[in-house]
Amino acid sequence: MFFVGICDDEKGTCAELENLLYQYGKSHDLKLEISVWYTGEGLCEFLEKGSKLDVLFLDIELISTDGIKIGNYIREELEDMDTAIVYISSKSSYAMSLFRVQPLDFLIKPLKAEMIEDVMNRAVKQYRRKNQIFEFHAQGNHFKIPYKEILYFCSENKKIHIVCREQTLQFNGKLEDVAKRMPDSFVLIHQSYLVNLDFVMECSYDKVRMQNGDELNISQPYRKTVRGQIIRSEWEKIK
Amino acid sequence: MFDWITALGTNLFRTFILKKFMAVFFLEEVENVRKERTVYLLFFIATTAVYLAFHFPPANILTNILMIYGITQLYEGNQKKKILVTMLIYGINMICDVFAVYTFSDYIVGGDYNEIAAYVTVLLISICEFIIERYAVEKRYVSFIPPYWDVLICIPAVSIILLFILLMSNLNNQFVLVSVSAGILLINMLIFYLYNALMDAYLRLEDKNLLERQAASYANQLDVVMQSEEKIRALRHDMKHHLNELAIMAGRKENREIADYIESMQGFMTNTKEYLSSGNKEVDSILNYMLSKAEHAGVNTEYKVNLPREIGVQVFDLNVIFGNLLENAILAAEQSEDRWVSLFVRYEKGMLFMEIKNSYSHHLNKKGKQYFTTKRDAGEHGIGLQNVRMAVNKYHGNMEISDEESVFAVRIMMYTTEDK
Repeated sequence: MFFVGICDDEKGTCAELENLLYQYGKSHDLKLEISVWYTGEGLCEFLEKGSKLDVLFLDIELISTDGIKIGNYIREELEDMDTAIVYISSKSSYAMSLFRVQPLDFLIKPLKAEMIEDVMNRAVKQYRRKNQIFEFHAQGNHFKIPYKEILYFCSENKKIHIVCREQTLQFNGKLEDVAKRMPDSFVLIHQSYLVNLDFVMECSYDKVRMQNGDELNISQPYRKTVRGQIIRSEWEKIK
Repeated sequence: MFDWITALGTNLFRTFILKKFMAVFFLEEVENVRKERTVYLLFFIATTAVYLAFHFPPANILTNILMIYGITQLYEGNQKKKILVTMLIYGINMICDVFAVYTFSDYIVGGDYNEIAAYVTVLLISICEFIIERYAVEKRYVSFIPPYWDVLICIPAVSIILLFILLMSNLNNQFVLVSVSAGILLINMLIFYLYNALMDAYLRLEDKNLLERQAASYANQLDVVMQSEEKIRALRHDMKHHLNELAIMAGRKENREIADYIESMQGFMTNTKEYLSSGNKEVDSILNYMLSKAEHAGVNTEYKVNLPREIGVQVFDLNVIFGNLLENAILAAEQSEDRWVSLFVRYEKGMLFMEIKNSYSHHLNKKGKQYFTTKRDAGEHGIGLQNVRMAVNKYHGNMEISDEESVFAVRIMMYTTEDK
């Protein structure tokens, strides 16, 4: 089941979008559960209760609680990086604060079937990637954590720390071996750091800033490879 | 004493030429400047030391080859190419060396011939480098002809003749021989310096063309804005009339007619010259200008631009990139059957992603990593693409070019977070 949210104060747009999404679900054999809100407050109330959405189509120009505020609320207060946010608007000009939310895409009304097709394909792909599981052994126990919980791996001597959203776990192993097992969205930026690009807020050539505020340096010999990997992984997400 | 000065002086110049040689073969500059300096210094020290310590040709040859190969490791490229470059450079070096020694040794008495030959050798190498840079490998400035290059090449050539005459006169004064040779060498080094300055001047000329395009795109954008303004003013002026009309139709419940009327009002409001408004005025200016150019050329355009209003990229660089790439894309599309250009720009995580695609059908010139258009002034366009590459490199970015099934695509990523 794929949970989709729509939040727009224009009822016409909501109905249209809902229709397009059902068509998409039908043609791709994907079960969708679609919820619609006409106000930002209604959506926030739903999210406050801990309910999660996989994709959220969000109008930027909502009255009172607008799309930027909701985006920030999801990313910063709820610390939810895995809900794919798709902004919809009738304008094509955007504020920088919208980009900090790292939306999957920006759609301009009127919405068309091709737009939904394209953005949903990418959302589903991203969903599958983020919900893959990382498994490891530590102290005789077997652990499983989904990728969407992991910010980065950090090695120290023979120990590897997994920095997660809520905790830090440890196990014995080699970071290189972990890197080999992970998809392109995990980048080895240093001999002792393996970061999840989904939790990177900002990239520059020599460092990355993580969602929790940590700044990690990309060591000199890794920079070109890291750049290549970031390019591959980001293009897959944005187009 | 004199042989030390000669060895150090000529070898220093040789190291310098070697660096220029490398720049001919390897496109990207070495990133780590300290490492680069260290490796070249190491080359200089090792070759000089081995030469002075052993005076044994096989040892010289081996050190030189190994050290040149070591230098190639500073650059990007596969090992095959690196070995080839090493051999080519050292081959030229040796030919010059043998030629110099062989030509001059007959005329000189005693052990002096070695020194003069050393000067001649480096001069010959520098001429070779110059010729190769000019003819064999079309690289950085593509078909850029350095102004007065034929005059420039006369100087090392005349220098060699001078040295030759100096030797023929069988002077037995080592001081005169070495000081005159060293002086000639210095003049040649200065010539190389001037040559680089000329190149810079030429590039500055390029920049001027760019500024002109930038001015044209601003003028176009001003036009766009004024036209929008005018349309809105006109619509407002007639608003009473329009509302009246709509009220009458609504009264008659003519839904179809109302929808048509609204559509025609919208059509009246749309500015045909304004293709996109991302809010980023620099990007809007250049893109609106280029897209209107595409329309004039009868090329279909498709575009999606998701940008914040401010990005950390200089206007000048945006103009270089979009201006050159779109100009090339429109030109190629114009001559193709499908006639389309597509543009995608997206800001994400402090990075700027761009993709420009176009249809093409005519023969595309491609030499290794180098693309040229088949347009008459091909040189100009090669330079355009080189300028794009330079602008992208400034932001530690990356540019990939692909051509598949009559679609030509350029993808660029640049970091925008650093201060430039």
